[in-house]
Amino acid sequence: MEHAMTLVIFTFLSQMAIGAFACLFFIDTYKEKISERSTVISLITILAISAVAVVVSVFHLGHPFAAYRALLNFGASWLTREIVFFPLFMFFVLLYTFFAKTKAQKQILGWTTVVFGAVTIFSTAMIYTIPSVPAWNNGTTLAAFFLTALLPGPILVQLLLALLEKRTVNFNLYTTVVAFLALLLNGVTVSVLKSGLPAAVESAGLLTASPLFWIKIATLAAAFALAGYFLLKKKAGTVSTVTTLFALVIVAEFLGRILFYSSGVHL
Amino acid sequence: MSKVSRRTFLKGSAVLGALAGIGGTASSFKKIKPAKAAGKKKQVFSSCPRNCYDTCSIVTTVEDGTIKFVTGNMNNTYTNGRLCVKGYTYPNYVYSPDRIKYPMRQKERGSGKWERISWDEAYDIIAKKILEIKKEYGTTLPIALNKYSGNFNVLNNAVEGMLSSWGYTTRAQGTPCWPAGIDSQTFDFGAAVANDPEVMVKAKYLIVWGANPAWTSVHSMSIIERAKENGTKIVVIDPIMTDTASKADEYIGIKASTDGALALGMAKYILDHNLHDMEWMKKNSIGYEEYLNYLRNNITVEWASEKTGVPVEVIERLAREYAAAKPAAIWLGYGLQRHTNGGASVRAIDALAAMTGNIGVAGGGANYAQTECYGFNYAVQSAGTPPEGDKAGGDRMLNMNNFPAQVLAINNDPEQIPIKMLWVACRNPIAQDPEASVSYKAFESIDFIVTADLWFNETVKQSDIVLPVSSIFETWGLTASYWHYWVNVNEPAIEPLYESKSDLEIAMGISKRLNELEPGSCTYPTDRSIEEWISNELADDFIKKFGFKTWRDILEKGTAKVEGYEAAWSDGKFRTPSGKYEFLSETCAANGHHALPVYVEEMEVPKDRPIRLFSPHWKYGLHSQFQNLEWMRSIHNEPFVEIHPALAKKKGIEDGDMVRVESEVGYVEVKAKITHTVPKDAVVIYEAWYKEQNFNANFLLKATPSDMGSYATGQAGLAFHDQFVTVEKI
Amino acid sequence: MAKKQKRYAFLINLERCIGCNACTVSCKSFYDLHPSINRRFVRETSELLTGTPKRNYISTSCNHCDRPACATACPTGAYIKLDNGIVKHNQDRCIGCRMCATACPYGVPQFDPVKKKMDKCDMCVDRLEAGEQPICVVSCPLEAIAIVDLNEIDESQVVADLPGFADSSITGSSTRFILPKGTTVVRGGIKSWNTL
Repeated sequence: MEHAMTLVIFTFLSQMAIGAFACLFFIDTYKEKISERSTVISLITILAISAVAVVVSVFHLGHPFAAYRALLNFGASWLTREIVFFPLFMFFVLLYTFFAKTKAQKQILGWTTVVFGAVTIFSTAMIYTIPSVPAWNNGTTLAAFFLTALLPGPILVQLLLALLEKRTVNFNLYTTVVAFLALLLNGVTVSVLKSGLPAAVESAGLLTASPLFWIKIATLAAAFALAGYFLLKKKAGTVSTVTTLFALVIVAEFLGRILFYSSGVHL
Repeated sequence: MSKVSRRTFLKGSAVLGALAGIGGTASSFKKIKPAKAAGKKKQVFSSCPRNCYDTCSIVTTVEDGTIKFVTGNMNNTYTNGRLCVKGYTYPNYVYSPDRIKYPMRQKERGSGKWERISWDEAYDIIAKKILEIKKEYGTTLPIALNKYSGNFNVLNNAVEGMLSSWGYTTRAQGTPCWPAGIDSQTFDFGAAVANDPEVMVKAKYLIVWGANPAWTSVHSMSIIERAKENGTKIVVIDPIMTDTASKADEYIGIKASTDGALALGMAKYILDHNLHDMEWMKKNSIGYEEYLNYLRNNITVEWASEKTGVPVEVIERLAREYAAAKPAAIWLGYGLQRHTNGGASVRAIDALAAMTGNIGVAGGGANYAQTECYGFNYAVQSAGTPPEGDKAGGDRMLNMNNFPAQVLAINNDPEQIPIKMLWVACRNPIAQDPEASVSYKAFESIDFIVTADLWFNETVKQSDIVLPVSSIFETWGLTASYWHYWVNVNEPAIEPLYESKSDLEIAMGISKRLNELEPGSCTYPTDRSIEEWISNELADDFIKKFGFKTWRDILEKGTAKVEGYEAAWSDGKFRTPSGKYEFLSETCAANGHHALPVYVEEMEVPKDRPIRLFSPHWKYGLHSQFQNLEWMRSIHNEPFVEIHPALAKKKGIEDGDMVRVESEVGYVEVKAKITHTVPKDAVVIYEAWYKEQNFNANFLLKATPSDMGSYATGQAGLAFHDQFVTVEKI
Repeated sequence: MAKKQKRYAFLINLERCIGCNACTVSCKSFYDLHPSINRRFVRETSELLTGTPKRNYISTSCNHCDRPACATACPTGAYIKLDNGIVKHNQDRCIGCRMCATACPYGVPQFDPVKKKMDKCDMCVDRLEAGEQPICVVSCPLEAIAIVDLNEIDESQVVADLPGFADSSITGSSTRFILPKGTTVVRGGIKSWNTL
């Protein structure tokens, strides 16, 4: 697999998994009762996605079986920190899945997991917030990575619940707002890059010249419109609506991540 | 187990001992880690045999029979312990997977369907073909040789000897590089003899005129930098702002082919202001009055300015500075004589140096080239003499600079003895000859083509048999420079790779087979060892010149200098008919030129192709060598055309666009590189052979002859820089 | 008197550099590097560096930064900033994640496709310790590359920044350059310009 593609897959899947867990945890603990079967299947799905992310990421190394050595620079390297925190996140997802029985247990384990997830995303963002790539060296990287958690993550949960419980949890307000923010971030990113160093300006050019960028905008806009439509209609939507939404946002975010790497012009 | 003979071991330690005494940073080419076992590591002297000013003496480090590193030999003060980028690629050259490994036969030319054959088979096929031709035509004249400067190891002259030993044959004669200037200097001085370039530092003023040593003679460039740091003013005159010009104090972007006008304009100013050296002229020259009268009556600085595009005040200042600086040197490059008036330009510049008394002076001179170091016996060549009974009575000479067209003319003329077989060695004519499309046709008209080479280049692709040639590191050699005054020996560093052989071994092998098939059909000796051959090359008086007792003494330091050329012609003994410097040369006149160094009008720019094309040498290659190697490709691997921003704008071309450059004879498609360093009315494409790329600058070039060359080299040169094109965005 | 710790750095004399890449190739040869790997990089810099247009080059390798981004990015801690200023890469520890290449403002570390690890210049530290100069220094035919001690050098005679070379303040690049001098350029007008 191409080097950059492994990073695209890892960052996208890990962030979606973290977002999905956070969503499931909030619904499960604070909002409404979900059957244990659905919860466990959803959590295992999240773990499976996380595991795929890890496996793919390990194979982007020249020496996958020496991956353990990546833990050796916690004091300085955000990459080491990411590599420490993401497995911790996964470990707590596992604990949550099998040991969180009471609300208190759920709260303690759930919050810990969410914090590790958030720290993972923060670490991943910091890896790329570096002066050598001016397009990345600003808050848009952090914003984009968190949005990948916040947009496809919950819709994944929504889809899982729709499939498992044959009911649609109404996320339309949330999805509309986050999709709007994701749309907005594109505009913000382009304008930040255009006012940056020459390499960032070049990145902006690469970004807006790419058809993938416009597909991303279109899919985000469609997701925004779809969620907004059901919001106005005050309907939760059907399984097929959620499936469509999910397809739209994963295409958008996945393309976005490809663009992130491909338009990151080095100094 | 490494087999190291006692001789090798002793020799290796002697070499190391000799080198250990050298101080300075450049001696530190040894690897830090000691060799695992004594005797497994050795260092030998090699010599770069390319057609290059610098002709470096190399120290090659060999470990376990493998070349690990090459660097410059400190014993050679010109090489100075450092090589050029091309030299450093030699390990990659030797071990390149692209090398031709075995004798091979191609099913159909250009098909790439090669089958491996044995040397015996190859010799047999070739020998039978020679005998067949000889039988049919009663002479070997249908056999042609095209060989030149890909490898200047003197032992490779065995190829000429080999052909002579078959009978009289057809030869590509002449030299594409420098003949017009060689003629000029022969008319003026009696021979081209330059000052030792190592004393160039003594110049107070240095004009580099139409040369780009930053790319083609890095060691001289180093000397120029040293001179500059000593306070020498460096002026570069060139239509292109080369890397050399970029290091100069002053760059004169002259209009191409008008160099003679600038020299004459400067001379006129010098004469008018009485800055010339009348005493020198009276003592050392003939025809100076006629020359000065020519200047008085025919030349004005204004005219020179009009011709050259150089403002009057600049010409005047250059003239003043040049005449005032004692000594002042001029380096005449080969670029300036690659014009239809190139020989005349060189004569005008020679005259400028002579009238200011800068001839015979260390740090002065009109320095073009020298052949004083070629004191070899050429025994490998003379060892072959045509057997009795060849009815031709002499070789048939074709012009190397128009070889394809002349081959076609012969083969299309039923009255003439056709060319049926071609032997190519040390040369890649399809890549290097102008009018590449004609080259292909000429090759098609020949029945049987044998090429001895290391690479599957364009010429090999159009051959029937290819013979793998060993690199210099696998054989013996002797090389001399045509610029500095060192002679280098080349000892084998490693065993020949694959089934490769040297040109000399091939000559002996063919001879053996010919005599087996038809005793007496080939006179080339077959029983001498390569070391015997090399000892035959070094005549006793040549050896004594260096203070050596035997030729083997050169192995001690790998290199030896011919002394006495700090100031060429300082003895005032010119080799002209008059024994003087000849401002007025009857010989020149007898050869169809002007007796005086007058201005010869430059070639007119065709109206329909108004853009001049330059195709000078490329820094990562020497002609068709080196750019194909993996190490070079890792740095650069894309041909390009340099275009001035103003011309690019006019044509709507942006940096990186593909453009079509078209001449009268062909076209190429290359990427545009926009640069201010080229003239607005010219484009530059560097000639090179790129591996597996359909690029050859010579598709564009017409075989337009330069004005001179036939007197000293047999054939006129080529006006490589009088080429005109159109440029359009694709 | 205690000997002050040296801070080694490359000094590139642009007045002498002819952009020939002899440094790149001799290094590749000496260290038997994978053919795709260059520990030195020669690139063209602005033609207008000294005002009048001419050909200018920068030859750089690892810039042995004061605050090496490679060392911060590397998850294995394979990069060490030595006391003598050299940034050394410990290939035994490297796992080939390539993060250093992304983080380095100069894109210095390169991935060796055979070893599957990163590779970069170590200023021939073994040679320096043995009292010898780096291979690029001894190979440059124009003697344009030198090793200097940043504690000794007169900073007013050199620069750390050039067009086309990432801002030295980002990571504290130790490489210094001697700027080229200007060349007086005389270029005649072209009469037939309109007919081109």
